[in-house]
Order: sequence, then C-alpha cells, then structure tokens
Amino acid sequence: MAEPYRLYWAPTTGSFVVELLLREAGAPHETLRVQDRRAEDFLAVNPLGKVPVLELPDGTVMTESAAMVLQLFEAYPEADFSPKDAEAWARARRWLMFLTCELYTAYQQMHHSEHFTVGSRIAREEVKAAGRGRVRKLWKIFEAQALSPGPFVLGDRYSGVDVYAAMLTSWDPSVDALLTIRPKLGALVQAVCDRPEAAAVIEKYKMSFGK
Amino acid sequence: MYKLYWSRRTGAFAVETALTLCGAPFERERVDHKAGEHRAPAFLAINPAGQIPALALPDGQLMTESAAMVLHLADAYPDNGFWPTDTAKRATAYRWLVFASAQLYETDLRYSYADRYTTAPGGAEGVRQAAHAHIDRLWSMLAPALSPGPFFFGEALTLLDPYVAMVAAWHYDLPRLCAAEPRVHALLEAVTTHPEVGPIWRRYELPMPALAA
Repeated sequence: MAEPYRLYWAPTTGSFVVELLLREAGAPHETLRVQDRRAEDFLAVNPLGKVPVLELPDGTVMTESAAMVLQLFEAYPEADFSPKDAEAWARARRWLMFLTCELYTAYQQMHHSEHFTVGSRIAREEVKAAGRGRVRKLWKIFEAQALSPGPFVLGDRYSGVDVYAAMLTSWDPSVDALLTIRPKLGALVQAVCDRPEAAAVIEKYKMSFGK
Repeated sequence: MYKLYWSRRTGAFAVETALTLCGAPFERERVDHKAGEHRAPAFLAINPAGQIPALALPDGQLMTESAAMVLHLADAYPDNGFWPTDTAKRATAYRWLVFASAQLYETDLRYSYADRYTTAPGGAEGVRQAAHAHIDRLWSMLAPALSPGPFFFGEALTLLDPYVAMVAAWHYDLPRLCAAEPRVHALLEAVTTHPEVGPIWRRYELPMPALAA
C-alpha cells in the first residue's frame, strides 16, 4: 500500500485548490492543519513558513500551489481536471502561470502590503491601492483572453486552472463587484462551486465567493 | 516553426535556451523594449498585454509567461535530456520553477519597476527597500536546493538552471548575491560557461558573475 499524499493546509489558502483536486482524483491523502506557520516544526517542513506544503507518496516535499497543480495533472492524466491534448496543455500552463505569477502576487500586495514597502501605514495604503489597480487590470486581461471563447480556460472543458482562478477571486475584498463586472469570470466561479466535490472543500476552507 | 519575440535581458533568454537545447526549429523577432516597441500597435496585436517574451507555437497558438513556455518545450521534446523523467525530480523541478517565476522574478520586478507598486508619488523608494530585503530572504531559501550543485540535479543541466540563473542575474547587487550565496554563484558560473548556454547568455547581455579565482 502506497503512502498517502500529505497536505499541510490552512483556511483560505492555496491549499484549497490542492485538496479539491486530490479529492476529485480519488487520491489517497491526509490533511494536516497548520495552526502556527512560525512554529519550528512547520518551518522545518517549509522554511518560507507558507501553506500549502504537499508531501508526495514517495516523500518528496513540494511548495508552491501552482507546482502542485502541475504535478497532479501529470499524476492523474485521466482526471476531469487534467488537460487532454497538446493545445490544452499549452493553454493550461500559460494561464496557470499567469494566475500564480501575476494575480496571486497582486493579491499578496493587497493583503500583505507590509511586505511590499518599508514605509509607514500611509505608504502601505498606497501600496494596497496600487495592488487593487493591478488586480482589476489583470482580471480584465484574463477574462478577455483566457475565458474567450470560454466558458472554461480550456474552452468547453473544465480543468484545474479554473479552480485556481476561482480560488483567487475569493481573496478579493470586493468579490461581489468583481464577479459582476466580469460576468464570464462569475460564471466560471459558479461552475467550479457546482463541482460535486467542491461544497465540502469550500466549507472546510471557509472560502467566500460573495453573495 | 516556433517564433520567439525577444528583447535583451528579458525572460526570453530562458525560452531561447530551452528552444536551443531541445533542438526546436525557431525564428526570433526582436522587440526593443527600451525603444517602447512592446507598447506599439504592431506588437500589441500579437500580445495585447505587451509582455516580452511571447512565443508563437507551430500551430499558431500564442503563449505568454516564460515559465509556461519552458514547461511546454520540456514536454514537446520529451527526449530532450534537459528535463527530469522521474516523478520526484519532476515535482522538484516544478516546485523551483514556480518559485523562481512567481516569487523571485516577481520580486525582481518590484525593485526594477518600484513606482508601479504604489500610488504615492514618492513611494517607490520604500517599495524598493522592502523588495531588496525580501529577495535576499528568497535566495537563502532556494540555495539549499542547489546541493551538491552546481545545478539543481548535480552535474546534469536542466532547463530549470538557466531560468534560475537568469533571475539571479537580475539581482539588484549581483556581487553581493554571489558573496552571500556561494551555491547561487556556482550555478551562475556553470550556466554562463556552458558551451551551448553561455553564448546565448552573452547575446542577451545578461550580467556576468565574477568568476571565482
């Protein structure tokens, strides 16, 4: 019997996408709640003190939620969430990297502005404001290009990239407004929420998609 | 035939390296970002986000995001010999490629274009200082993965190595990085002296690390 995947998780973090995909794949896994990211035993697993961390069945330790998504695509090629042909793979990689490199970091800028400037409280507000502008611009690009023709990033096929995108919208302080001005994005989030395995994971991770 | 839209000192370096090492047929089109060509209508028609690099695939599909292009090429040329084949090493390669693109690359942008990260007219200096502190911390986290070195997977060069070396070369103070992180310095030396990668590095005018005596 192979060892299970072991996912270190915390509410509202990037571990959401990883757990949903593990469940959809039917992969044997266990989840460990990280209470204190600065605790020594967790820093020994990930010195960056960031959740999620995923241990593969062979013991390999991964960080970076987008890297875990790539890994699960490869481990479960037959799962609904995995790209099925070369064109889909190229699209999936492009937009997954866009989401993690650009949007993920723009939300970091909004929520952890103290890491983005050494300045005062006022300087942090200015960093947050710039982050809000970045987020709006990036979702506009995503909707126009990644969700065209849509409804999914891969056209008429669902994939793990859609879950990743939906997860990021839940980090938006004005998620209602965002999903209203970006209706294709709103439809994508709804489609992800309607996945059979999603409700339980959304509740566990305390994810909020507005309304 | 692939078509790579490139400019000096940009992420296009890692993509051209991957194309070359994989033996993929490609042509290059230079987009001079110093001259603002990436904001000109001709290029915006190809990539509306105006980002360099962009890569047109043989079927005409356009890719953005340099890390995604590297992953695509590793997969399109499965016998390339420059990407790990076993699961554990592939997972490790994904981990550090995403770390390099989502964390290191993004933090480099914060000090290179600090004014974009604040709405305050005089706020850029505070952004730059925070980014300097953050990038040094990130490199100290990556460095242990370069053991035993000089590459991520020992003596075997993979497409991950030129990518990470390129991001290292964008450091705000390269001699300081090399002194603080000898493993990163060793990676830079090995990449820049590699017979196939070194010439591309020089053509992209990436800074050279001081060679150890």
